[in-house]
Amino acid sequence: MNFKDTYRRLNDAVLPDRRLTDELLKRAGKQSRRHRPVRTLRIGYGAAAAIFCLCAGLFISMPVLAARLDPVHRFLYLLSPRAAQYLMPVQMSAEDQGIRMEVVSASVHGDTACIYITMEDLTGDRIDETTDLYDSYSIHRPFDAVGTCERAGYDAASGKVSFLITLKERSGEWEEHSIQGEKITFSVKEFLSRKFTCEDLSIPLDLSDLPEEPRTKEADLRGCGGDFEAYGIDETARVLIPDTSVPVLPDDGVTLTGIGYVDGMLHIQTALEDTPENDNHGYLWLETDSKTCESVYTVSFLEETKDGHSVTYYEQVFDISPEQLTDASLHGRFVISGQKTKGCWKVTFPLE
Amino acid sequence: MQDRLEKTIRQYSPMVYRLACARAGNRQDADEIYQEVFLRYIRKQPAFQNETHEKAWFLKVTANCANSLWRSARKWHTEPLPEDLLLETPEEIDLSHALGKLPPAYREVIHLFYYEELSTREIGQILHRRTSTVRTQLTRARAILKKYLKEEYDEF
Repeated sequence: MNFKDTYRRLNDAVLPDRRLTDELLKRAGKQSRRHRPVRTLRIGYGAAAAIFCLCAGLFISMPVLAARLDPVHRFLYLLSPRAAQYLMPVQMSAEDQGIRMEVVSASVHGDTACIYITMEDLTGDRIDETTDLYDSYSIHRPFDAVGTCERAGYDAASGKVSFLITLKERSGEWEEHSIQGEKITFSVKEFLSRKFTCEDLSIPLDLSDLPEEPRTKEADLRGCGGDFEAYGIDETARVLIPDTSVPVLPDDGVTLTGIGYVDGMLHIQTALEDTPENDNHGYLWLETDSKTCESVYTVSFLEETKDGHSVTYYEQVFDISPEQLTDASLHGRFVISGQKTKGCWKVTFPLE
Repeated sequence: MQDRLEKTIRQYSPMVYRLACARAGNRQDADEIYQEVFLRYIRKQPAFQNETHEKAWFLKVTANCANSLWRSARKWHTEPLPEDLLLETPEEIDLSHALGKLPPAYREVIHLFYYEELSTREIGQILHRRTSTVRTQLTRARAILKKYLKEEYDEF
């Protein structure tokens, strides 16, 4: 068997979504000067609340069409009874793995479209107030917009969690033609639930006697953050060879696996098991005399264990001298996902 | 003018998207890279000397856009495997899984070498890497793939 042939066959099936190409062709036709890609951004809960308030304000000028007391409306009534009355009902749903996803409402006003969806577990208790779609959702739309999706609330009585999808115009295109009636496809392929956060976890480690020349290796990076470019980090970096095992959250696969000075910078390495499967994440910081010291950059790389599990190593690099470390303590914050549910939930609906 | 733009977009869409997928490892990021590449093309409408020059431009810009996305802070987490692909045979499923084990930079080299059939020198020019670096990455990528591929390949 020829590797090249198999690789070619695999890639022959990879093609862009026709709607993306159509959108580009339309742009090419217009030769507009204001071209921006459609991006899917994630926003914080505070921003979601702000957008909700914006949407709530916008809805006020729309006619009354529905005021059903389903969980989403109940939730909305808690925040704004007026907004709940002005939602446009959609009520289209998809069901898989005993989980139902329903598009409850969709409304457009000006340059903002707001869509509410709910998810509920018909057979168990996999949906809770921590349910997170993280990066597993996609919003396909035939117009240029910034799309976000954030958890809007949880109704304990019905066990439904609700999400607010917001599409905001980017290019002035909506002024040229209305998006009313345009179809949107919202899909989810997996979600996390039963999440918990360990805030300010104190990590018992003697920082006064660290190895000055720890064993290192050149690793191919899978990601990096912070001010890494200023330190000349590109696609590879010199990292610690994991050789320590200080349990941080042992039940959840979080371990401190290395610490030491490399080229005058303090490297602290944490291992998280199966992160592609659970999205567990976190970070460390140092505290010295009430002063907090954050890492200047972080790199991550992946290794496979003998039993086929993958371990992601996050190495944080601190600009702190050994002398400053003498009275320092190490702290961490970790977000742990208790359960991941996979499936295929996809709903296509019109913006009315 | 419009016909030329449309023809070029249609012609290079699959090539750009496949490289974006190979590098990003997921469709969501590939969509973003794909759009950014062609929006740059529409904005700039560069003049090309010939088709080779045109193809190299699209590959280079795709690699650059993928790099920009990868460097952004939100790429902190490990990237998932390609999804939604029409995998029909066990070999394709196996290969897709093995490719997911490669660092993004290696997947890019593998793709340009095996799918676009470029030489290591040409790959180096497109990715701004030394030819020797490309050769090393290709060798390492093959070694990683061999480790994870269940299928024995006569030719690699």
